[in-house]
Amino acid sequence: MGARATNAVHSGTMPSTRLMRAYLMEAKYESLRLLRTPGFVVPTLFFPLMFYSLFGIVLAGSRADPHAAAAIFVNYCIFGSMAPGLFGFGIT
Amino acid sequence: MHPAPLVELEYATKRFGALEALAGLDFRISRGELVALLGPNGAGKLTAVALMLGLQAPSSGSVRLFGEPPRSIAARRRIGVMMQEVGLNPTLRTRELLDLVSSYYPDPLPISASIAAAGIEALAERPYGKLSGGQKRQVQFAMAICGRPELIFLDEPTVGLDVSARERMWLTLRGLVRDGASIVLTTHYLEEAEALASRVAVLVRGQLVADGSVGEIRALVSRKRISCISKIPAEEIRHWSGVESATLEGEQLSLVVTNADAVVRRLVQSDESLKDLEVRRAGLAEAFVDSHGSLHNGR
Repeated sequence: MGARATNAVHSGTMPSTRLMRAYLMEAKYESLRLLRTPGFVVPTLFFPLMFYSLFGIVLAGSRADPHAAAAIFVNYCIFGSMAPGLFGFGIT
Repeated sequence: MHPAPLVELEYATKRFGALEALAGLDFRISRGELVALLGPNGAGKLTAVALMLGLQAPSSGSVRLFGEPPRSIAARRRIGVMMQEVGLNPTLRTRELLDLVSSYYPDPLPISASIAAAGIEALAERPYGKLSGGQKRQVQFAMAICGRPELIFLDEPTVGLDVSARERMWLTLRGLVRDGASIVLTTHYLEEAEALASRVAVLVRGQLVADGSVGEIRALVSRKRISCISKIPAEEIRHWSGVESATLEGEQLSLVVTNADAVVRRLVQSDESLKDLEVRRAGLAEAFVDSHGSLHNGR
């Protein structure tokens, strides 16, 4: 700590690089928070994968309509990408 | 450079329905001060702090923080805050929380320096949610100081801390003030104010009843209350040295004195029929509120 270290001279202004960094840090630790929350990971990351594997691959077998599998795939992609919103990403 | 106050409350009032939490608080904090806001529960300490932080808007009057509205981001980058009730992310580790909070400030301390200043080296890699109450307070303290703020708000910072952690925090606070920071702390304890503050402001029922150095406040609190049944008329006792007030209620004489030993000696000597003598130390609240519930104003 230099002399008058706590006596900031910035008057509350922040360079844009630091401002950008603050947003990135916020995103980073929000992601970390969600990834460490089983209530998020299981229903939003694990379930879509599991359901797609189940309905789109295993149960469909070889005689499936390929368009149906694609539709199921898109459905679960949307479901997965909506999830962070449902969990209030960045709100806390 | 004009010495503009860091915080300026001008006749700020705050009403919650019928309750007046703050009744026209006129209060300034200058650079380099360590101000203790002292007062019993419900005195309006927290409301005063909430106004200064912009968490609540005053019902009337004005509040400025660094000469700006308290909600401006520029003003907020110059303060650090440690409140009683905070919901921090329980899954993040101490070091990660500090990394995040430091990123909000233009010129923060290195993470390791914040950790060292708060004395939480042992907690750095532990998830916040797994810490004990006192340890959480220490982490919150590190978060309050990590951005090198010019003004630090601490709401009863040492509640739940053990003695060594408390002493450590006091030491750090004194160092911060030496380096040019200003601090506002709320507390119930005169002891804490005595150990730290350069200035003590006492709030009772939303009013500022005393504002002065620690010594001045201590003199007020060292008042004692004597009650007895005596033949000596109250008008006479009122002129004795060391007696601040004397009132007669029924036959019960009640005195507020600054020098209890001398007054008691004189009472006993001058009245042989004296009975029901009782001497009590005036507590912090009692020192400022008399038995009728009205306020003493200073002295």
